[in-house]
Amino acid sequence: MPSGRYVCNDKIHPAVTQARRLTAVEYQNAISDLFDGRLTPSTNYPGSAGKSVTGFSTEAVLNDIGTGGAEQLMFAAEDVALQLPAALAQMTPCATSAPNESCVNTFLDVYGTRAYRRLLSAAERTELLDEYRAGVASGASFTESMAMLVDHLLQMPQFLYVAEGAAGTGRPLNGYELASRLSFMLTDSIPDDALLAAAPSLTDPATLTAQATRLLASTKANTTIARFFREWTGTTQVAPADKNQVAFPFFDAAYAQSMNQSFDRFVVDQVRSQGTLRTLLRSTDAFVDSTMASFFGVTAPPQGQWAKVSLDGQRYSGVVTQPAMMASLAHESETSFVFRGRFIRKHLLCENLGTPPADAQSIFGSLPLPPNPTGKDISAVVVARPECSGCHALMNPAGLAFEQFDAVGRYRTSYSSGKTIDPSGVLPSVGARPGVAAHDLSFADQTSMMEQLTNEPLVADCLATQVFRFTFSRMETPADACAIQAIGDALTASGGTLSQAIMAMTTTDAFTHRSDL
Amino acid sequence: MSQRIDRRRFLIGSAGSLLALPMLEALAPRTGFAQTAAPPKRLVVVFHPHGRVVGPGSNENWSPASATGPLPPVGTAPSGALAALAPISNEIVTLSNIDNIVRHTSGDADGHASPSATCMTCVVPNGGTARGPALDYVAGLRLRSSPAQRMAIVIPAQAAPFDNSVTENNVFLGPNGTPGNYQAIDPVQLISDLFASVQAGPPPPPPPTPTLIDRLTARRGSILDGVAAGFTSFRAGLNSADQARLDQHAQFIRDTELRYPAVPPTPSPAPLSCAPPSASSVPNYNWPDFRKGEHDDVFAQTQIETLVQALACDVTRTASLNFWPQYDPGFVTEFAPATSPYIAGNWHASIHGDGSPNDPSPGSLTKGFGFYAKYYTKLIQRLAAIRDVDGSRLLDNTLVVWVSDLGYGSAHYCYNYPVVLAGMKSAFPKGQGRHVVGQVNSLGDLYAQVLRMLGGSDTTFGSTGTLASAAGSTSINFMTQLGRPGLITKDTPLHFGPLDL
Repeated sequence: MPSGRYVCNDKIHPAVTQARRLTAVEYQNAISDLFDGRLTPSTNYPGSAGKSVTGFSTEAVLNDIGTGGAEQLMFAAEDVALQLPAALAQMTPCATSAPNESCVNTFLDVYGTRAYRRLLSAAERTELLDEYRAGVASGASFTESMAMLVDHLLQMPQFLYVAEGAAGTGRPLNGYELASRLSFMLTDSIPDDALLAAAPSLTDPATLTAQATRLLASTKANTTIARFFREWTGTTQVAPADKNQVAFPFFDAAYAQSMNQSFDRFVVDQVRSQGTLRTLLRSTDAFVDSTMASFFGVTAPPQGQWAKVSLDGQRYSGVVTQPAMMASLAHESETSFVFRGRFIRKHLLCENLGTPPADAQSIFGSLPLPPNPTGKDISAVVVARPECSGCHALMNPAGLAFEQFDAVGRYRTSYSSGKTIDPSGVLPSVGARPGVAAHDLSFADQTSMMEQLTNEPLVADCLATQVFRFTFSRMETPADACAIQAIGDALTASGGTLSQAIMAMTTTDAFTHRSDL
Repeated sequence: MSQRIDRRRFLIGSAGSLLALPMLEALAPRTGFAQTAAPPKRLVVVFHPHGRVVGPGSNENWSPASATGPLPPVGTAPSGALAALAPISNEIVTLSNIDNIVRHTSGDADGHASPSATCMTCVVPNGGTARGPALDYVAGLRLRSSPAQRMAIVIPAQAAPFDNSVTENNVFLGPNGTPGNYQAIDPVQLISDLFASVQAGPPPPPPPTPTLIDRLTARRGSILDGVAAGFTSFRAGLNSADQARLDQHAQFIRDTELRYPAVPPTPSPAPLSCAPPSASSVPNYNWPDFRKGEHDDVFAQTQIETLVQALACDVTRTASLNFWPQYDPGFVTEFAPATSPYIAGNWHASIHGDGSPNDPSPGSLTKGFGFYAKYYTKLIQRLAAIRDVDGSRLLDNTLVVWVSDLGYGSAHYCYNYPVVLAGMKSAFPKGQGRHVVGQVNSLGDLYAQVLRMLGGSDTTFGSTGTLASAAGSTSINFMTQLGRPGLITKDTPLHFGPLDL
């Protein structure tokens, strides 16, 4: 690795992928796209379970079905199939004019191909036809028999799993496999018809890039972009139940919805408007409706509309100070310098902090705290404990920098006790890389801390790593270094944008090839 | 309420005891068929002569297997002789190791008379003469709704010449061996006798048309099975780690599938239950020319329909199909008419392997036996196609017992009777689609169990005790060589206990 860079043009560098079941979000999108919005996804579809290692919801192990999962999948398929009779005539006109096996094949040509994300094999087509035939044999009508076919289709692994054929030590993906990768990465859904039509040519890099560009530009990509940033930053869909209604009586459902939308609009805009790593972390932009305008104390747009505004650069700094993120990284009533600091160290710098001791909560509960403690008071007591200091000495200073944002993300300068908030600090041991020693960052407040972090090469590397984890639904290994390096290069190139970094992912060997090893 | 009365009546006792029956019958509602809320229980006995026809020995083609286990799936022949049962293999239970024990209390040297006198009565005979009521008689008394209803009917299934004398039909008997409930052999006469006063009343309410959710729900077990199969084929192209993930999923499907029935939805039964046949419905009817064996196919089908409609119209709740002609069935439908060896030859003599010009080859005998199996299947399928008063299949409320007079016809052996049960699926705790090779059981054990399946509490049927105690003599040396090797002594019990059903 001369000059700290990996040699990547020596050979193909494929990536390992795992078969994984569609997440609940992907399922919702897939059902909607599969049937052109005519059938509503079922809420019975089993969601994810467990704690994500990467932070991203697509991890394979999170989506393994458990006891009862197969039954839930069956119920979900039935829920959708039950809607088919009312929509079938619109979906497949021959259902009315010529309800026969030829019509079933016509249906499969469209909807079977969409569901399986590729052309059906003869055996697969026969299997699905047999479901229809069994329905007819049982006395069911054509429409009912088609619903039975759909019931079966939606329980098949070809639909439920994102899975690619075995690859041994490595092989290029075929066009349909690339179409699925691209579609799920950029739209959290199955390929649309244009992508499926282009699939046979997707092994051509220019075609692949053209389709990736098209998908990324589509509105369908917005929710996927938002999901990436939400899962990376730990920003949940905040809700009134998350917050103490005595402390924050104004934080109702409409308020939470505005806050959530504000976050999503900010991150989507970052990708859509040629945002860079710098703007992502240092922009003073915010998106406001009347509620969020009041929140920020700026002029409100006309009722029902949203506007991009510029906030005070002495207070706000990019995605991190978006209210939804600050509210998510907080408790019901109080802030959490631990949550916020952990984001900086673990997800912005990609440091491995390990796991807290099992009795961390009881230790914390037993700590002697002064009356009306400030964040720094509490942190000092925690860090003084040897069993806590290893991680908290790293995390807490970063989190304390955001103490000026309360538990719902409002800017403030003092605690409710009247004590002034001191956001200054020193972030220790930052930036260690091969050949580069770690150093400390001194900052006056969170904006100066974020400014210095934006300039840290490790932050670009980490964001590139997050894009990789998001795409492959797993932690990286040394074998993935070239792909991450390519994304990082796109991010740090002169004029490099977030969208270019995403596009760079799709041209790596890791994206176009896979291996089992 | 009517069900409770029926059950109490059934608990009166075995062997046709009539104690207190009139009072209970008076209490029983005289319900018309269409008014009956719950379907009545019914019994059909199918009888054919000469047992397994072939064997015992290596050429014995009847047994589906040598041990208890599932029968082959629908569409696959259970055995050579039972090949025609392939379409209904999921509806039947085949039994081996059923012996006619009580037959050995008789010293009658006639190889047919004593087995015939006992194979349905299980009562110690007087020489070759029966002394007890047969199963259909006992069950018929219990199952009928009132004395006004025919207690049982026995319908000849073959048109080949035979008469209704006790000598020739010494099987379906009343108390003390009195003649049973044999019906006219003329099919048109039979229709007239049975249905003269029957009118096809209003059809029972149609079963509710299944909705889509009904259909989806009904196929949960089978669709899970289909999905699991899909997992198996899909996984083939994946690497081992991904295969393991899919395998885990498939296992959860299997676990779930166990909670749902795997059978596909039953095709809708025919729309009408009681449809009395008319005389004109008998094809090519030309009595008495119709009696010739070459009409057996049409004849058997006609008689089966008559039997089924007698049940559907509640003419009776106990009916028997009697394949009796011992000596000259031609089995022309199993062989091209000009090639059947049993037109010019003799079926009975061929089974015994004597006489000429006969064909005692196991292949031809098995082929001829296929006639019985074929019409047993048609009977079951017809019962399955008829709708009962509650919309269920007539078969679901009808127990069908197929027995014979001998175990192996070749030498009048009275062990290892060929027994096939079907219908009344709910009465089979271990399910159907099974072959059962249990401990040795007697026909008495079998019939007691049949009566229990029909709602009784019988633990024995016919004579009880041991061969010696039942016969009143320790001299039981007659024909013991026709029993199961090593089993027949004076202390051999007439009952061994429940069957493995």
